[in-house]
Amino acid sequence: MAEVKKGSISRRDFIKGTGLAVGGAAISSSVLAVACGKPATPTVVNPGAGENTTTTVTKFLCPYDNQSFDTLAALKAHLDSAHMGATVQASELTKFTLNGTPVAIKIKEHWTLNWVIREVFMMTGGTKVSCDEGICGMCTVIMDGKAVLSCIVLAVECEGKTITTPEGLQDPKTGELHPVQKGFIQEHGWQCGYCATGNIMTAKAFLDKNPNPTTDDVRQALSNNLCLCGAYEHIQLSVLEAAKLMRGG
Amino acid sequence: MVDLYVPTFGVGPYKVIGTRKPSPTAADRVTGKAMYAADFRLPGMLFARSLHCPHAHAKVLSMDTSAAEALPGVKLVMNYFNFPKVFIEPEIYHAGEEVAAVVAVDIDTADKALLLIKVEYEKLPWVGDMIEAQKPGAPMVLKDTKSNMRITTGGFFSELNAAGLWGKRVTQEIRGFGDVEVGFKESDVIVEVKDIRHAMTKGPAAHGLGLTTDYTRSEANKLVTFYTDSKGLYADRNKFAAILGTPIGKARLISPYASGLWGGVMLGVGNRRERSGPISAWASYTLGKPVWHHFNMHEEEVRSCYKCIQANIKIGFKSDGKMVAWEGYYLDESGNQDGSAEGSCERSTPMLAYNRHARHCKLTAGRVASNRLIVGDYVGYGTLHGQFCAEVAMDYAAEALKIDPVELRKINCMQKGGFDAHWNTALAECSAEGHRECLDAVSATTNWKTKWGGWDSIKGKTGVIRHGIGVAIKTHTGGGWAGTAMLCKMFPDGSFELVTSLGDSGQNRPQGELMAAAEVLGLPYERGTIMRGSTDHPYSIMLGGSTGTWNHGFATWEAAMNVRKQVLGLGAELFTPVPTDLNLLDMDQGGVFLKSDPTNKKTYTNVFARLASRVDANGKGTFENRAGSFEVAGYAYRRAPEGLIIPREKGAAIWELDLDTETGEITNLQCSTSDNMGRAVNPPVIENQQTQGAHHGGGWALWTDKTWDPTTGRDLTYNWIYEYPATHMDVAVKMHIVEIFGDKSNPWGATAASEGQPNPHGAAISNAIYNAAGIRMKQSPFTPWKILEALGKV
Repeated sequence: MAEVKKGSISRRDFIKGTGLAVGGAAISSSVLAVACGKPATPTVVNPGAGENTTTTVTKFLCPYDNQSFDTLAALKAHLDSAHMGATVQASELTKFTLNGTPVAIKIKEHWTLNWVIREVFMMTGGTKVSCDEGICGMCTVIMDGKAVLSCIVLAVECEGKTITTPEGLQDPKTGELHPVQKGFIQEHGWQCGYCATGNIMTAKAFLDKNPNPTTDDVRQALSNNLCLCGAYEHIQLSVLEAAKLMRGG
Repeated sequence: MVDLYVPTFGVGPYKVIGTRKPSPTAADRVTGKAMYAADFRLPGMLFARSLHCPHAHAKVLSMDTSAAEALPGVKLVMNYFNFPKVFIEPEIYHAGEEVAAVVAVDIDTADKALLLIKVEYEKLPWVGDMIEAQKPGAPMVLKDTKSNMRITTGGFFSELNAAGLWGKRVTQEIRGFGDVEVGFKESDVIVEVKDIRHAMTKGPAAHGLGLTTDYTRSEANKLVTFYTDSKGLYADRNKFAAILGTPIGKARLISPYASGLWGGVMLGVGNRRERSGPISAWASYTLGKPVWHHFNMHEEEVRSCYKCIQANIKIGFKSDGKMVAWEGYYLDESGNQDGSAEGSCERSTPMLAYNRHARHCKLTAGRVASNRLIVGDYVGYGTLHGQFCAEVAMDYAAEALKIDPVELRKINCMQKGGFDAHWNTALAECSAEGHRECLDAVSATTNWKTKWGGWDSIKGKTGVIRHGIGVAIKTHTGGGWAGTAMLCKMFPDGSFELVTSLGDSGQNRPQGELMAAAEVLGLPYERGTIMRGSTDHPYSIMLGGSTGTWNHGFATWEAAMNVRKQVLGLGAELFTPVPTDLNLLDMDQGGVFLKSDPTNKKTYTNVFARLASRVDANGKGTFENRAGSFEVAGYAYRRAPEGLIIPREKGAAIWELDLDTETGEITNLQCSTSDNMGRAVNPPVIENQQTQGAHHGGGWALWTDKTWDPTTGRDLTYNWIYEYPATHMDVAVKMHIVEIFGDKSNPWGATAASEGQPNPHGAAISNAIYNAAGIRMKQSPFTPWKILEALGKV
């Protein structure tokens, strides 16, 4: 559903509204079923209507072709006629917890978790994609406490799971960085940085189980995460520093 | 107190330079806020996918796109016949070149449509190997040529002056100086090594998954924005603007995060048939929507770079190890474009690295075309390969002379007091020292003398697993072919900002520039911000290493110094009496103060308030900066002197390994690497560069074996399983930073930590293999099969 504030579109508006709808355009109608909280009420502030006057207008964008409709029914009718009935039933939704928030989405069978994170939820900054075939580790997320390669985990496997991405590592109340994030900053654990979030997620899952590792433990644990800039030694130092911080400094 | 009004070239003490500051974008990197080119999603975005030619050399005769165009969701099908500016010509020169593109509402639809395109090709003769391409009767790769091989020209020097510099340079097909025939007659020992080959495949970029163009078609503001991973933003902007017929000023390139080492980092530079950008640009222009031209990793590989250099090297020495003459013949595989880097081989010869004693040098260098992907690398640009060939040959020489290979290099490497084989007096500003100190550093840490054990020790090694140790040096220079513009601003709250389009690489990457400005301004590093990563910012060469060490270094220093002088000048007026010399003043986080009385401090709020008051009777500001009390700004553009090859990277590496003589496998790899950094601006940045060099250089020598299908010319090694990069488990690296202050390559005495980093490692590994098992590996990669062949076991 689109949420548009004419004249002042915030980042939140963009992501929740237009951005998501456009993302949906790339991946079919799943946007309709994204359940990240209550549906927002779109608002248009009409500056021409006089001072202190606000007009609320609800618009529904087709995720395929960006056509705008005034009612959900009209949009559904459009989807039925133009896009072969792309609406969904609740029973068809895949439900899991993403960074602490329950979500439910309509997926296609061949979608990977990486595709869902990046193209459905539009969280392209944290969970990267590179090889897209399980080699490089740059797409690593944590699923039920284990580091997994999101590019080779199918979305259907996520039913009932708890998934954490780099966006979910910070303290939700204070915004304070997780010790693993701090460790990577302090010890310069990257060069170009594209592998950094994947390394951090692998390290987080590893350190949760092994809080006092040796350098060789770290090398072994992160052996599936490529760093094409070859910053491996500082990545190892970063994980060791993170372990120290997690133990209380 | 350091006088900051002249560059100090590393002679501190400094407050910020030399400390370990984090990247200014560190928090974004670890929280998922760092958006790379492939991470942008724009409203209404469409998706382009490419069809690739399956033949190594062919001509597209016709194309039936009707079925693809009829597929629901397809918006546009592009090929040479409807977009000749994008596809340039119907002829294809290597397997994998793009012949068509589909733009659709999603990637799945675009991929389906590609399968519906029918192409009629005329297959043409091809040659996919630089050795085969040299043979008589080989198919011609490039049009209107009679040979795939072409000797290129370089500088031949004469008239050595008293300053140790050549007075005359003539461009001709032989590079060098002196007379090698005379030199070889004077030599006691002559070593000749033929057919040395080093191939390197850079592999795909981790984040190079495409390029997005957003063309806003309003008549009032025809603005086209490219989201790219390119490091050649300005060159690419000119190219794309020319293709679209758009004024350059209406084209913006955004590349907030990019690395320097992988993939097609410069889309428009040196790659005349680069089509990904033009496809995205023209599709966006035609359809009026943002278009992401998406590559998967295998397609990204097609864009990545490969290069092989083949060399014959002959070196003459006196019996005491002093080099007399060097003759080299270098051929550089240039792929299907006539642009390459064979000239870079000269930097590992007496033309630079070994210019201490040798007075005779003759280099012949050329290019060999082949029907392989666009060949050119942006790591070392040929110095990597030349150095491998040189350092393998030097190990042969050390054995022939019965001299410790570390000592042979120390005898002959460039150093202070030697003569210089280049022609520009400005080069003398850059230190020639460092190789010897770096060799000492890695020798000490590895206990070289004992572990190497002398030339006869090789014969005594028995058993299945044999330990070996080898050494090589690194040398690299960057050309001063472009400059850097830097804008520095300071604000009334004591914070500051740099604005430039600097990339994120090398010793002078963004934190290095912020540290430099903080040092000049006396402000905390953490109070600084750097705006960069797009053509919206002042021009920069983008590279923070190599040439950027000079350009960025001096531009930042000068811009920040401009601000410092203005702020101190304003602050001076607040003191009674007004100081007559700004050198009497200093500034820090709290404000401007007298050096003689730091407690007498004027806050920046008061200092900046002077700006607003400095208005003459006509209402015009009398001060250089008229921005009221908002900011003080300084701008500088600096470009290295014409012809200056700067700055010299100097270092050394020693590798140890275990070689399994039954399987040919090499394990337990340990690398000790060192660099003369002049002054290390930010040590962890250099350490990361060093480990990069070790992992890359080692990986290219050991594992990345590029293979093409001999029947079709198609790339068979298209991902990181085949092109195996080093991992945490493969190599352990010890880093050593050697600091020798006074190098004038940079205001802080810094030298480059950049492209030359991988240079020594392949040869050091080759030499370690010889030390382990007595086999000379002079052609990389050193696969188990090749090692078993050398051992006579297969």
